[in-house]
Amino acid sequence: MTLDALAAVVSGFAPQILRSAVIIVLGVVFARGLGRLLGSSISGRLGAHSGSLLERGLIYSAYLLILILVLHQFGFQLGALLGAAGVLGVAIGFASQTSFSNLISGLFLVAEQPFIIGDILEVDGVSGEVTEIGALSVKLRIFDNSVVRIPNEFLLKNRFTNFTHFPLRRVDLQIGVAYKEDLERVRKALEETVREERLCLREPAPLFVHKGFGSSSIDLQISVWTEKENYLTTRNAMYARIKERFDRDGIEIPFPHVSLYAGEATKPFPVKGSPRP
Amino acid sequence: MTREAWGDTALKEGEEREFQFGSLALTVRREGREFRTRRTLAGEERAVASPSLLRGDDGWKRWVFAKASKTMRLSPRVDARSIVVAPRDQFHLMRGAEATVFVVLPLWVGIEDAASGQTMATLPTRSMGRGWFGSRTMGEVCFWHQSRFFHEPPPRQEGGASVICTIHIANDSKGDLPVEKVCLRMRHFSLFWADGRYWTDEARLRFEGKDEGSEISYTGHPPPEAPLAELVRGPHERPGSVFSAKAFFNLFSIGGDQ
Repeated sequence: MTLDALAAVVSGFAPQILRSAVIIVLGVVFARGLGRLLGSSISGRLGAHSGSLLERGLIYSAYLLILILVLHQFGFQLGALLGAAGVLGVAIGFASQTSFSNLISGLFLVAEQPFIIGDILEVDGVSGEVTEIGALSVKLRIFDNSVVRIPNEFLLKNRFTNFTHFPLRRVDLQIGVAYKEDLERVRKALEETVREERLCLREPAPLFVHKGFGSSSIDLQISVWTEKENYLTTRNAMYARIKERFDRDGIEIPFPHVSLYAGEATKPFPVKGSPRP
Repeated sequence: MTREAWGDTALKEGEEREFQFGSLALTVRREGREFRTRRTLAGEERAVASPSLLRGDDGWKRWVFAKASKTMRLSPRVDARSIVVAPRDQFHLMRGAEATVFVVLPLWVGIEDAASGQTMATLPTRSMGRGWFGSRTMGEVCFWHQSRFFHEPPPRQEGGASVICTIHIANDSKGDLPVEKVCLRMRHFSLFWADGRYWTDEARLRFEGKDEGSEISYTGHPPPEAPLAELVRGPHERPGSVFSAKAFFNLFSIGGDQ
């Protein structure tokens, strides 16, 4: 095709090109503006991530509409096009069932909001901080600083634990003391230890549970409340304080002993066969 | 502790000064452009596994300002964080009754650079426990404090770095009000000085029933017991004239420890 012929074709489509340009420019500006407006409005209510996800969804839908309108300007039969798109959609749908399922699950997760970015989750035996809630998956930064990607569908179908949903957490400390110890004295020592640790909240009050008579110790549980961000520090500090206090008060923490003997006693047992009667 | 302990102190290069406010022992040193502060609080021991000890921290904190300054300022304050006050003895306010009680709260010490007015730290003059006011699912972290509910202003204690808070409680509900704990939103209190003691303004709590909550107001001026008290410091946050909030803990106490 010569340049003259090309110019003739273009001039023949001049009104359509002009209208399409107007649709594209106005459509893109309008879609972006509306997306941003709704996104920031949703962000305020449902969180930054939900806002950005909805903003992107809205903008992509608007782009699709703009494309359809532009094609319509050039005389494309939308019915036939949509029919073809339907057939194509079925084919693509079969091929991308998993992705689609993850996408829909992602929408449910955004609506339900069982966790937000920054929460600590345990999913399928893996614990980590939520760093990204995507359209298809959630990314967890686990504590060795690697990333685990969890498909949204998995999160929707399976049980997971959010450790940081509420502002408070209870730290359960398991302790064993020797059978000879006076339990009232032990309890008093533990109460004082809790009072000395600033990270332990005085209210809700700590809980003492006598768990039972173990094989080598009387088993106790002391549960203290702390702010969620102090969970690990409180746990470490309390175990250190309890050990310090028990050592000072002479309260024995028993542990099972295993004795290994070497020498005569460990000679192989003689095995003798006897004739069958 | 006398009032003269507060105010500006000029420090020479490398000079170190020690101050005692209640249980708080404070050391301040000037090194070139920076101030260094260290505090110890009786009854507040650090655990062997505390992060500061694991870091090999010797307790000093360093503060560098835009412009070199030689003068630091110590000022009496109340902290912005709320305090849950539990009465030593059970306190019941029967239906229709009202009472004015006085509680003794610890004072806080503000350490500032006198030139810029920037605050380095605000420290309590006694070790404060921490508590939670609210339910397991929402609420706020508070300081935890036990005090007698005095019916008249308690006698002045020498060396006591404390502040007297006047609380007027009225029970307008249809039942009795056993007050186990009261949450004082310290950010709304002003601090006054009169008769050798520090005072807050009066808080007025009106309990109208479990479902109605409580009406709380802060007068913003000296309590009737010290009408000529001089304002030392205004509130961190000025409250509306009256607002409704949960102030009494017993009705919202947290059940189910398991």
